Amino acid sequence: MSKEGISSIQELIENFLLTNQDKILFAHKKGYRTYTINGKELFEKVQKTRVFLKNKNIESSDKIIILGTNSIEWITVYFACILSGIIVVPLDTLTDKLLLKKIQKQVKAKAIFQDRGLASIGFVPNKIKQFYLDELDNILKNVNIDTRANLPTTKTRPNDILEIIYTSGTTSNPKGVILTNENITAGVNAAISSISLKIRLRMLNLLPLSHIFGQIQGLFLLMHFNHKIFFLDSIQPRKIISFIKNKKINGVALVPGILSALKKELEGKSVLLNLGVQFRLIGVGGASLDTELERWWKRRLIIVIQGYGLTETASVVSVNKIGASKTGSVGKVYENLEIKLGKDNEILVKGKNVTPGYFNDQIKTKQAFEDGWFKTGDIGEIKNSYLYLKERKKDIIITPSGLNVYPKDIESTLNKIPVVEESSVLEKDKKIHAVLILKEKADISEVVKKANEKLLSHQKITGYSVWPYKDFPKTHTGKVKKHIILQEISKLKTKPHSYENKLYNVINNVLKSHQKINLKSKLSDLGMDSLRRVELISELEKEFDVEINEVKLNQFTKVSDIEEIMKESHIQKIKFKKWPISSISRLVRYVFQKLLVFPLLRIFTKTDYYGLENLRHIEKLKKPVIFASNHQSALDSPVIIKKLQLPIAIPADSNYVFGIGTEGPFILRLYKRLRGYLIALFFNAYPFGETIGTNTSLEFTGEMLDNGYSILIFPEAHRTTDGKIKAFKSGIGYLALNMQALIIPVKIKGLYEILTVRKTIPKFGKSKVIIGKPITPEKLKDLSYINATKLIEEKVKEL
Amino acid sequence: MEVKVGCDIVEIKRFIKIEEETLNKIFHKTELKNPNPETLAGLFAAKESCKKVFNNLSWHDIEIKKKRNGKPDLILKTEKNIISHDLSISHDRDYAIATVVFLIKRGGT
Repeated sequence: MSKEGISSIQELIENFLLTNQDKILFAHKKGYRTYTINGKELFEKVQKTRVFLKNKNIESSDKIIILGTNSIEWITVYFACILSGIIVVPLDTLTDKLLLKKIQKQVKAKAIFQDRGLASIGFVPNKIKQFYLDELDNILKNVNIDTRANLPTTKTRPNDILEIIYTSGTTSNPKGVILTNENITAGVNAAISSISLKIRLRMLNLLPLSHIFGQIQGLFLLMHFNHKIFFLDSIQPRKIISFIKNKKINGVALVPGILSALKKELEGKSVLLNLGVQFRLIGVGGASLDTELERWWKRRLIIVIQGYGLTETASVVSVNKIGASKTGSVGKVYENLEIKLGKDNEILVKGKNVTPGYFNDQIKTKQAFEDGWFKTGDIGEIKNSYLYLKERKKDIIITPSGLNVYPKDIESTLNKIPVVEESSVLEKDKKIHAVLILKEKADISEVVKKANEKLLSHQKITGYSVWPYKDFPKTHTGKVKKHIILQEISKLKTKPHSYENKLYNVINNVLKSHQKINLKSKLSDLGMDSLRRVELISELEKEFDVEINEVKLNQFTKVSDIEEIMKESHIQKIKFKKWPISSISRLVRYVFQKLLVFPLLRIFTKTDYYGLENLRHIEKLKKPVIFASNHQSALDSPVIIKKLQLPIAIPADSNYVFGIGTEGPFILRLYKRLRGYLIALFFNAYPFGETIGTNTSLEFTGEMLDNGYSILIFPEAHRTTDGKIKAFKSGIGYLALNMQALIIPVKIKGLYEILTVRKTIPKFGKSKVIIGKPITPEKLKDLSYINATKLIEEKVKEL
Repeated sequence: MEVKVGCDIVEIKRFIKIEEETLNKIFHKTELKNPNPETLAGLFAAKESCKKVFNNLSWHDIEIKKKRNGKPDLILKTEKNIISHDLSISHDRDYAIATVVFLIKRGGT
C-alpha cells in the first residue's frame, strides 16, 4: 500500500488478486443471497476468461462491450480484458436498442457480455458474439488453465486505449471518451494521493461500474488500499440501509441522488441506530451535491468526501480531503493536474489524466480542447484554493438584459423552503421558470413568493409549475434531464394540482395522468385494466408498507376501498436481529440443548436415524442447506437437530410464535414476545410469515444462510392432525428457487403418536428420522415455484 | 360438463419499459427467460384469459411453458374440476392475443 501510487492498472489488478489469495475481495448481494469471491478464485476466473477470449479469437486491441449491473462477473470480464489488452466499452444499463446500435456502428466490438435480465435489449448486432454475464461460470467450466506462466499479462503501452466510455444519450450522436492506460493510472494516482485510509474497510460501491467514477473511486482506489468491496443489486433506500447495517459497512460510494433518497428515508430516525456505529464515510460525486444535503450528513458526524471530475478527466479534477473539506466546495485540485478558469470562468483542465479525445470524432475532439486545455463546460470559481462549481455552461439562463442567471442559486434558495422536496429551474418562454416537487399540498405561489424575497431582481422566478410525478427524470448518475422537464411542463394545459393524498398521487403515477380522483370511482372507470392494476399494486407496496393480494384488487374495486384493503394488508417492518447468532447466545443454546433438551428427548423416545451418509456429504460441502421436513409434533425440531452437526436456524410463524402483528390485550402480546425471545435463544428461531410479509421472510432466510446457518423448515406449516402429510405450502418453492441452497428432504415417523398436536404430555415410543438425498439445482432450475413445491413434497413423501 | 372460454388482447408496446417488480408479480422466473415484449405480451394475454374464466386465480397460479413445436402448454396450480384445457396465442404487429378453452365439471368455477 504505497502512497506513491501505482505504475499501471494491470499491476494494480495483479497485486490485488495475488496478495489477497484467501481474503474475500468482493461480495455481491443478488436477490436474497450474497455471493463472495476471494483472490485465488477471482484470479483463476480471470485467467480462464482470458483463455476463453483467446479461443474465440478476441485479441489485444479488439473491443468488447460489457452491459450489466455491478457484479463479480462484470469485474471478472473487465479485469480479463485489461490484462489481455482488450479494449473495454462499458455501457450503462439504461442503454436501449437504438443507442447500442449506434455505438456498435462506431466501435465494431467483437463480443458483448450482458446481463440476461435486460429486457430492453433484444437487438444483437451482426458479427458480434453474445455472452451472458450470469452464465459466466457455465461458460468457463470447460476452460482449462495450467499454470500462470502460460498466460502472462499482455504488455501494453501507456498510450494504448484501455476503454471507451460513452457519455451522452440518444438525443444526439453518442460520444465515446477514449481513456488510455496513462489516463486511468493518473486518475487512480490522483485519487490515492489525496485519501489515505490505511485500515481495511468494508466499502459499498453503489456507483455503476460502467461509469468512470465507479471504476476509479469505487473500484481501483479501494483495491489499492485492499478494502473489501460490496455490491448491491438495488437502489431502494430501505434495502441499502439494512444492507449497511447487516453487513457492517464502513463507507459507501454513491451519487447525490441516492444520498438524498437515503436522507429522506432516515428523516426523523437515528442514523447511528439504523446504519450502525461502524458506518463513517460517504464518498459522493458524479453530479452536483446540494449543500444542505451535505450538511445534513456532516451534522450526524459522518465524513462526506465530495469529488468533482468528468469522464474526460478520468473522474478527477478536485476533491475535499478528509480533515480539510469545505462544505459547498468541490475541494482542492489534485496534485499533478492543472486547472485554470477560461472565458466566462469555464474550468479548463490539463494533465496526464485527460483524454486524448473522442473515438473516431475529430470534430468533437477539436471542439473540446483549447490550446491543449480540456474545456469542462462547467463554470466555477476559486476561493482560497478551493474550487466551487457555479453551473453547467449550457444550463445558464441569460436574461433579456444580458445578465447571467445560475439556476443552481435559485434551486438552492427554493430547496431551503421546508415544503419543497426538490426543484429545477430552467428557461421557459424566455422566463425564469421553477418546477417544484412538493412534500405536501401547498400554495405554490406563496412558495415562489418566499423564494423571490431572497433572490436578486434579475434572478426572480417569473413562471412556475408543480411537477406531477414523484421524481425528476434523471440520468443514471443522477443528473437532472432539464430538457425533458421542459417538454413535459409545456404539455400541461392547466396548472396541475398536487394532491395531499399520497394514494391519489400513486394512482395518477400509474395512469400517467393528473386527474382529480373521485373516491367512488371503480378502478375500471379510471381506465385501469388488469396490467395497470398489477402496476398499481407494485406502486402501493413500494409507497406504503403493505403486501396486497391481487385477488383483493379487481376492476370493481372502488378507490375508497383501497384504503381499507391497505389497512388489512399492512405488514410490520422489522429488522433482522443478530443477537441469536452471537457467540454468547450460541453458547447458551448449546448448553441448554445438550444438557436439557436432548436428554429429555431420550427419556420419551429412541430415535433411529437413516440416510446419514447424505449428511456427511452435505457437511463436506461446507455450504448451508435447507432441510424440508414433514411436521408431526412439537418435538420435531429438537429430534432433527440432535443429529445434525450443523448450525441451524428455524423459521417460526411471526404472529403465532413471535407475536408480531398480534392484536389483543397487552398481556397476551407481552407473553408472546417473551416466548419468542426464548424460542429464538434456545432454538435459533427467526420470524417468518404473513405478518412480516413474504419479502422480509425471504430476506431473513437469506441473511441466516449468508451467516452460515442451514435452515430447517416445515412446509406443511402446521402439525398434522391425522398423521398424514398434508399439501406443502408454496413458501418452500420460493425458497428453493431463490435461496441458492440445496434442498434436503427429511421425513419423520413416530412422533405424531408420541406427542399429537393438542396434547401436552408425550407418550413413550420409537421414532425414525430419514434424511434424503439433496435435490439438485438442475432438477429445480426450470420449474415454477408451484411445481418446485410439488416436487419437494413428492421427495419427502417418497422417503 | 361445461365449456368455458376466455380471451384477451393486449398492446405489445406496454411491455417495453415495464418495471421489474410488476414483471415478477405476473410471471414466473421460467416465463421470463425470453423477456422480449412480444413474448411477454402473449403470455400476459394467455394468463388474463385464464383469469377471466376462473375469477380467483392469481398470476402465479398459472404457468405457461412453450413446447418444442412452439405450442404453449398451460399448467395450473390446481386442476380441480377441470377435465381438459387448451390454449392458443397469436401476435400481429402491435398486438398479442390469446384464447383459452376449459372443459369443466358442472358448477366448477
